[in-house]
Amino acid sequence: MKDRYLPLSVKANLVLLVILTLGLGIVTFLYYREVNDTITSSIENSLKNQSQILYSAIQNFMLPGEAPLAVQFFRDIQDLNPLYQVRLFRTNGVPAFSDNDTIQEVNRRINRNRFLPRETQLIQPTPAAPPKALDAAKNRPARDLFLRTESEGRVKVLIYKPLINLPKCTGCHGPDHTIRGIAEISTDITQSIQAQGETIVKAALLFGGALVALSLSLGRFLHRQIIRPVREIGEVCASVTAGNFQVRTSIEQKDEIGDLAFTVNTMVKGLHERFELSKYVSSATLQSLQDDSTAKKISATVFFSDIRGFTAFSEHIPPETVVELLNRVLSLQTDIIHSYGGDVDKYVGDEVVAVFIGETAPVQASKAALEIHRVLKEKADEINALGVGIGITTGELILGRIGSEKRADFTVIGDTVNTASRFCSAAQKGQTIISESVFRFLPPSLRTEGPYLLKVKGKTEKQRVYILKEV
Amino acid sequence: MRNACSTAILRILVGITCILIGVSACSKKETLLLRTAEYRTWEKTTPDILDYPIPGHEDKYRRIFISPEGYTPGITAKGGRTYYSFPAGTQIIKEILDPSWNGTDPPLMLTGMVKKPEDPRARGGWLWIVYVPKTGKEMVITEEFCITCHANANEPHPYGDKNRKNEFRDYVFFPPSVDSGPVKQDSSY
Ligand code: HEC
Repeated sequence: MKDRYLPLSVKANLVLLVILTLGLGIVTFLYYREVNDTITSSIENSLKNQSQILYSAIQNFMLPGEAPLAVQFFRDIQDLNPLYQVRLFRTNGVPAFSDNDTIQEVNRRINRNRFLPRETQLIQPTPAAPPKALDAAKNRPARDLFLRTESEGRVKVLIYKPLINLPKCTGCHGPDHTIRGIAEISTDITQSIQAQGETIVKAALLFGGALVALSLSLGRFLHRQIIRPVREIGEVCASVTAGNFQVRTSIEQKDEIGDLAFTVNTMVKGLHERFELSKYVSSATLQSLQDDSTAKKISATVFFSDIRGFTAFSEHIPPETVVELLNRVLSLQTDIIHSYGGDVDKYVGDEVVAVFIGETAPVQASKAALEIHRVLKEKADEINALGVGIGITTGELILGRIGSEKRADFTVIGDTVNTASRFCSAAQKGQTIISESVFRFLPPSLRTEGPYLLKVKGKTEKQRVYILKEV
Repeated sequence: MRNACSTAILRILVGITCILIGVSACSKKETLLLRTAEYRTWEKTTPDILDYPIPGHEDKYRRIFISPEGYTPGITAKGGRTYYSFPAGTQIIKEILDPSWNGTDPPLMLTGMVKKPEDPRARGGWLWIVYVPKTGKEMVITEEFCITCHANANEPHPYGDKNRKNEFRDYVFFPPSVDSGPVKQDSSY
């Protein structure tokens, strides 16, 4: 399955919904069952008590042979509550007191006509006992049977109580049977079931409402406290990646997210500072900061440039203008050096020291020099017609961390460097002096003058040099 | 490593199962409340031959034995009425036999009363028990069935001495005669 992007709030809400719905379902189910069981068992208990009372009543009516009283008793109960029904059956299912059979049998058994047959039916005709009732009588040991029936939308609870042929009954009814009859008590519990259902629906609705409210507010909370800040942090990171260091998060929460935002802000600030700093530090410095070396010997081309007549010029104009012009000339040169793959090692006053590395370094440095002269000439108006003299040499030099422990620069030193500096001093405005070693690398397209022999400070022998000619 | 572990677990499981089976087998035996093996050595509660029909057992032939604990029930008088009380542990076992019993066939059924008032299944202080020899199964009757009928023993009734004095007979229709003690075994049946 493919991983779909799901916002945290959706995930959290899903989890919440699933958990709560399950929980709600289980709780509702258990609650329903509990209530149902309680109602059923309390109804069963009360039916059981009632059947016991009924049994005693029947015993007491029947012992002196007062069947009519028993019949009246049944009628009275019936009239009290239409939802409540009491019936009495013989074990063969025929409703008791519905004919004169029992009277005749008792008279026969006691051998005299003590009980007179009744003309009219003793009790309103009722249907025969349901088979379930007869089962209750057949069970051994005979036991009360509870039933719950549902028909035509009415729920009824019934008890079938087998009436035992007690020793004291045997005088009239004979000893040849254990169960005399079955009492049925039924009550209609549709209403209480409905009420119970309503209660549960209400509770479930309440739970459901609470569930929705809860997940909504949780979603909002998550959105405000987590998702929005996380998005904002993400956006800041994206901006920084795109090179914009001005962005900051505006999150002020006092929690983990707030801490994260603060850290990100600090990080962006740090990155910005380092980025700014890297403008002032040569890539060699940055490089060696990274590889942790303190000094190494490399083959490179050294480029020196120096503004001609700058000192004299700076005496006559305000210092702000001096600095501005100086920066302008330096940055024009820097841009060109960079564009030819060079690396500005340092600025010393109006001087630029740059290093070119690689096989084509002498050519690149020479081209950069020519370009610098051209651009400076072109922008003469803007820069007060200032120009530079350039010296280029190539050879072995030492790159190292020079300075004290507190302040050190990575810079280049060595004979190659010194010589380039001397050549630069010797070059006139607009002129580039290159060493023999540089010259050897140049293609025919770059034209030169020379060789000339140049006497430089610190060297006994005169140096063979060439002057780069403008293209 | 893993194998050793799983065999160990297996052994433990097998052990537990054995113990469980053992315990359940034991407890099954233990749950037999009626002292079915020895009741025939006890005294009978009545010299009457109980072969007439009664509700509950209809036309079967019955013999009633009582365990020695119950040979002389406690008898007290309260408010002009006499109360019988059988000591805890008393067992009354009624054998239900075929009407044409040949003297050797096992009984069809035993019904028993065991005095054990602290038992939650007891009704009127008695456990009401049905035991079927064929299956070896015993059933404690917690419904009202037995006691409802036996409540008639505590008032005048048609059997034995008929309890004309309306004594509380502790639910027993044929309590061992207090004056003469229980009926000694005789060879008449
Ligand atoms: C319908 C009435 C009736 C029912 C129900 C009944 N009995 Fe009895 N029982 C009797 C009578 C009557 C006797 C007297 C002895 C006889 O004639 O069998 C008796 C005797 C006994 C005795 C001998 C002790 C005595 O009372 O003399 C035991 C034990 C006994 N019954 C157990 C039971 C058990 C257990 C049940 C329930 C499964 C039960 N009876 C249900 C009527 C009943």
